[in-house]
Amino acid sequence: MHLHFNDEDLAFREEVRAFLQDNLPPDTAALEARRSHLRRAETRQWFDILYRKGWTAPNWPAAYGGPGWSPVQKYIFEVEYGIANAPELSVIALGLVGPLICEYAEEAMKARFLEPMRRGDIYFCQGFSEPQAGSDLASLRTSAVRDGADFVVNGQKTWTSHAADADYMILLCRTDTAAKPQLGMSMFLLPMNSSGITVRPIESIDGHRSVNEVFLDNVRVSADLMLGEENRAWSYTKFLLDNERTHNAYLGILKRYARRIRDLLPDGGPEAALSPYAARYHTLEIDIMALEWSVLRVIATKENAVNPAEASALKVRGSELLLRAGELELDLLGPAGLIDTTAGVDDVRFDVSGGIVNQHMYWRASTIFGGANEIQRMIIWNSVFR
Amino acid sequence: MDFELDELQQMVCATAARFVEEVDNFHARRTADDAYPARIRAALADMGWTGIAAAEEDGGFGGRAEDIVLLMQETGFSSAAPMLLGDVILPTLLLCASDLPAAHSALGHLIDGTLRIAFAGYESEQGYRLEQPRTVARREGADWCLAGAKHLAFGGGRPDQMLVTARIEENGQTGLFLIDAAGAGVATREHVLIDGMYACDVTLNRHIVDNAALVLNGQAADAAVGAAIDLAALCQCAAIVGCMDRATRLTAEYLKVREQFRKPLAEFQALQHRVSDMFIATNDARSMLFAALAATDGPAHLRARAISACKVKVMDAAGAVTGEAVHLHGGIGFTKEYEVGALYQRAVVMKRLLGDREYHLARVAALSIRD
Repeated sequence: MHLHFNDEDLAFREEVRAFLQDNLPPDTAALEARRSHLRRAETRQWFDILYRKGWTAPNWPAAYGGPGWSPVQKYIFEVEYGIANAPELSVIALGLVGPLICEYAEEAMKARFLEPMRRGDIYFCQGFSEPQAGSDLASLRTSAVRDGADFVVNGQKTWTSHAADADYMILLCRTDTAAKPQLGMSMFLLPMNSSGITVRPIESIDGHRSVNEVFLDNVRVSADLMLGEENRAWSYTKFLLDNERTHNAYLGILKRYARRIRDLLPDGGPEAALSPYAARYHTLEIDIMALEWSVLRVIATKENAVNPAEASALKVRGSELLLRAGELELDLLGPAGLIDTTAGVDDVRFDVSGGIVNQHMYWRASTIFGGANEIQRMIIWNSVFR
Repeated sequence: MDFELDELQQMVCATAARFVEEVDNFHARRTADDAYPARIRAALADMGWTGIAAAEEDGGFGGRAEDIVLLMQETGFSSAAPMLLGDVILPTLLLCASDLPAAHSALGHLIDGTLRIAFAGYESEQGYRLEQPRTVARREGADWCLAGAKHLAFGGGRPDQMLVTARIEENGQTGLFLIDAAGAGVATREHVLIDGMYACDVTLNRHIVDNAALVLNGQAADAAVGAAIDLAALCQCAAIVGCMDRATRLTAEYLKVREQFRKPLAEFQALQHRVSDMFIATNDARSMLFAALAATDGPAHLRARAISACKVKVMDAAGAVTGEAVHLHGGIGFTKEYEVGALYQRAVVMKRLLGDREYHLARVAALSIRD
């Protein structure tokens, strides 16, 4: 076994650190540190910088503009990116839709969408979950019925993040009601300026209104905006799940929080080293170390030999550690950290306030999204023990 | 970066898996006669495992830390594990650090299985601290006179010789002495711990040894003891990960067989998820072994920190996983007749040998540098 990064990867890490240090605008980093979940307009400058470097789409094949990194390099980049307070950019377009288009779309769709997505000129929101279809996604009901050169869409999506920032929605809907649920779904790239679409923000307990309900009332979408083949979309979501196995378990964010927590600990010599807060901090660091090596074990595994249970374990642990980090940081900040700085601020506009408690309230959802932790446990049981 | 086992490692792991399945298995231990430990010891020597921690030039297997850790993981729940940990790995690492003929000769006999040697460093008033022992070594002419008491030197039982740490009176430095367990002035009292490990208390009452018995002293002794204990602690963690693997597997198998409410318990989702949680905890514990291994060839303070972090993580997880395993077996998990309880017993013991959670967490904190 070889348990160290090789020289090439170490050099790459230095390159990434230096690039972030020299090019990430300080006020972008400050905003990310204070608030996170930056809006499209707030990250335009940084997007341009990262695009010129060719680093906005690490998950895409090199043929379509990806930087051609190995899984280890991708991991290194993501972790350093998180530590440096660099904001997530166009997550749905770059992380979800892009890989799908690269894998399943016709050439015309690739030519039309990929480059603008990579450049930050086309944003997507995700239209998967519905009020009746969360973990049980296959039970979704939004339908698309063919009508001439179009499909007519009716239904409702929920938990749609940043719908107001999006040019398109990646819509998962039912195109064959007679078939078994998993065999009757298709995906469309739905323009958000289509008539019949109503977006209604949902106020969440983190004080933001970043998630939305989206009502689709006789919305017409051109058939050539269907992604891939009709009724094959369930297998495309499987592809996304498999892709996600290189999920970094939020390690970049965890390390960012761990550093902040370390800096909040009272100073002192070895005597002070094991105050209860320090003990919790060191225990958290140990757990982050364990998670990091669990991630490395998955990343270093050959493509076709990845154990789905190990990948699922990462997501469960990552979410649990995020919650613990939040609890500890809030404990160290005391009551001042509880101030809701989003109070009275409309999330749709520029939002320069927002505090630590708002950040950590967001992560309460981490056990729910990305495949609820019970789904992950089911995957573990089914793949290892059943 | 890769986590693949090389051919030799695969072979050792396969041999070990067969050994704990066919020879040193739970049933064999339950029905064992008095000669059982001796048979297991002989088997360890035959397979060459008594040489796992010594380099080839010292007559050993050439074992690297990763090889030793892999072996301990495979055998962690067997009766061979305490022998490997206490009678092979720990004394071997100490003897290898000395270039004295007496040490070299003792190592040879340890490897060929004719000598049992245990490390006796801990003292009951010192907690987990090994520095500055109260046991004292005083010069008497050309010889040394040892006096003091050592606490729970563990292993496979009845050591022939012991490696004892003492404070050298004339200069306050540490000396590591190789002594005869049956020597004049040496009294031992053997105990059995709850998981079946043997551990003996040693009283030294004017035990006289010649200078050849001082195999290491001063800085060299401190460094060797520190490094040996660290690697032994890592091996302990590997053994416990092996126990956790086994506990998880036994539990899943049991749930599929045991029926209540007219169906196998494995069909209840709540229980499936408990097993999945055991998998998740064991997975992260296993990762700590790699984190610690990665640090073993680096700077000493980073190695120590990584191993202490490993101890904290693995031992926390072990209690939870093996305890959960007993719970999920219901009443039979509580019996000695059934294997899963023994895994829990081992976890309870290993947590508190070679430093407990608080000791190691404090060490992690002390060794963490603000950069």
